[in-house]
Amino acid sequence: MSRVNPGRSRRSYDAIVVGSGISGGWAAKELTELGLQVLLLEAGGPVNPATDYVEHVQPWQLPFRGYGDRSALERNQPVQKDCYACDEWSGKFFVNDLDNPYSTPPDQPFSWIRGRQVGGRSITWGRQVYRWSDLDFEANSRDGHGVDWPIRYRDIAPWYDHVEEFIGVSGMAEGLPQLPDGRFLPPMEFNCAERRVRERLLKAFGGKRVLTVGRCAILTRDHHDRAACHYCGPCERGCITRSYFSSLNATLPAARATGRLELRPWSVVESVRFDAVRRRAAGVRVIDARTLGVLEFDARLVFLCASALESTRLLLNSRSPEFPAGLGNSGGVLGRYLMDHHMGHGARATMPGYEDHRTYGHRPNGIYLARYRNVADAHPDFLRGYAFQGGAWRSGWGRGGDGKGLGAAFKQSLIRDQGPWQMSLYGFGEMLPSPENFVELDPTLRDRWGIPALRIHCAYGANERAQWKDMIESAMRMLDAAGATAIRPTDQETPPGLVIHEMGTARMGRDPSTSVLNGWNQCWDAPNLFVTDGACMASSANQNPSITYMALTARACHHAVDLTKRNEL
Amino acid sequence: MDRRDLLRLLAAASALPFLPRPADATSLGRLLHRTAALLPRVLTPDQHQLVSALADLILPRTDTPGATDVGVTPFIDGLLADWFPEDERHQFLAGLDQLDRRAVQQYRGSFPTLDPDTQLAFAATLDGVEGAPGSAEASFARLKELTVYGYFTSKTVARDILQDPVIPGRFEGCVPWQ
Repeated sequence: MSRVNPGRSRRSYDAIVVGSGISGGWAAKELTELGLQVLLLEAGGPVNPATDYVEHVQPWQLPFRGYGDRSALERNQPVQKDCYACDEWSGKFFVNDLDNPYSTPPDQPFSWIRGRQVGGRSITWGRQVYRWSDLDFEANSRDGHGVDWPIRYRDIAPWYDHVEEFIGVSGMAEGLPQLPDGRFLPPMEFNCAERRVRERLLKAFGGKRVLTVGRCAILTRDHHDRAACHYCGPCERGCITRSYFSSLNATLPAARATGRLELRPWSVVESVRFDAVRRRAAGVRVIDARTLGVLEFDARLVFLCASALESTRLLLNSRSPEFPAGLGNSGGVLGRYLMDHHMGHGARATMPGYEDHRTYGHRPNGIYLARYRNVADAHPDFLRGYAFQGGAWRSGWGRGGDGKGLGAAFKQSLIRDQGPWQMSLYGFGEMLPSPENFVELDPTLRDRWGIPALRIHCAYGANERAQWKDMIESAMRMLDAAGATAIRPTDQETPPGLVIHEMGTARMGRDPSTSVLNGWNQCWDAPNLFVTDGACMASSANQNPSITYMALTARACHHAVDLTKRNEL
Repeated sequence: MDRRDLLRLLAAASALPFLPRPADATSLGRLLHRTAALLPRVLTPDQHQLVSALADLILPRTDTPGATDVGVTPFIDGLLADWFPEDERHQFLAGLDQLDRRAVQQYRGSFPTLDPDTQLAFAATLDGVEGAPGSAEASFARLKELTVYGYFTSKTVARDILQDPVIPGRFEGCVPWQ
């Protein structure tokens, strides 16, 4: 899996897939399984699970015991270090910010968190998996923000099934129309405090506030050729038993098994080449990341799965006489309607009781409190909605680091007792699509490979701020209803980007003058060019988006092959 | 290595309990290199003693190891050398010096030389008290945080005392315990 393919055995392929992360892995799997010869281009280097996965490395085996090499992080990863997962173990799965610059207006910070390696960010993703519903797909047409999605739940539902069946999703069916159930493996257990909060909220809010266990792409029993989770905890450091889903753990091995995959790491795609005669994408231009040599590859189909902002940067940089402002930009909307989610608002508290109970094992998952705003009624202060994630835990020995206490009894209590149960709820809110939030090519700044860098303009707006206020008040009220004590608000505004759910900028739509892609993720300007990562999103909903990217990718692959068979491409 | 460094090394090394008598210059050289790896990199001998005394006061040896038994002092020294930015290192050490000066003023002795009850009484006046950067209170709080972290992330404590399994094999959410 980690070997660099030596040389180029062929120059022309049935399909080129750009990016080997969560979307690109799916494109490679589906297209190779449908019989196509696929060249998969990855900007970063190979990852060898046997030596690069570090999930079982313990703090005492590291030079900084998990604190990280602070000066190196501040020097080389000043942006990436703000991501919780960019630590002493997993920092290597995040880019060097000096090599990968971007700019923002001074008053609009944006945290662009990236992973350039085979597997992309699927190695470090949060593994949370939530289907969208028609509440989400109809949202733009309902309130007029953004353009109407060209698809509805019925269009994507079979592909959610298809993806879930392969990746394995553990969770509880709850029968909520706004959060459709999937094909779940057995759920992970609640802990004592979470179960109590669930029961009390169901009672206090008449069944309208449903706290379920996180739905996550982690196996709770053996599934296909992958083993059940062993609950070591830190998935973002890798998983040698392949128990959580990543492209490295699942889709890339499946694609490789067809014998039709050629994976080429260290391949920085610079642009998509356009054939002006046939009005098609001809292939891509690549810069070898190590030699800086320029290569060109041809294909009948091109899939961009490089991540929302990288795919859009690539299109903006694909300038030709026909498309001087970038391929896909005929309607003038390429780069526009950038969204992320927002988090950092909610509440935390102490949950009395169960001091004589504890958990066994490290559950790499939390709880999910499904959206309840603007579902059946209309909130007076804001549109759309939010969900809460979080969970309960014992404070453990870490509580000894602050507060009072010294001596033998203090030490003994830190060793023997785990401290009270703590419970946290933090919101994940929908961000409205706005033309004010956009990316463009920076006129002067370039990356290490000479490719123009992005200038990112993005800020949260009034609707998001109104949600923050309600998130804090509602979370405090719910924790109170659940019997919590010492309830504290969580009110931490973070720059957009840091939720790492950046999406939009090459949105799907029904009209070439207001969108970049049609309802099959096909570029209006070049029908054999597909963009299936987060760039395609026309709204953000409040669910973690990766499963929707995967489902749209699989759907687009099958459609592309159907069109090819019918000679329509 | 110049003569001053050698003397400093030998002076510090003499505090180590296991020095064999060097037979010749070559083995002395080897010994010094081995010893150098064990020597504090930032803390002076006095500061080293002070950090160790405070760490063992916070987490003393009982039927389980104390802070210095599991190497909390070299852990803190290593962070001071490679992890602390210059200004934070300076403030931390200034606060430690202030702490020791206060011990001398109030109890007529450097902190490590005080008897255990006096040490505890003095430390209790600092524990949980907020202070500006560079103050005795702020450095005590930081030292305590690092002591707890260094103690519980040491191999001996994390693996042998807490016995938290690296590969539990299952998750149970609500298990009665003792």
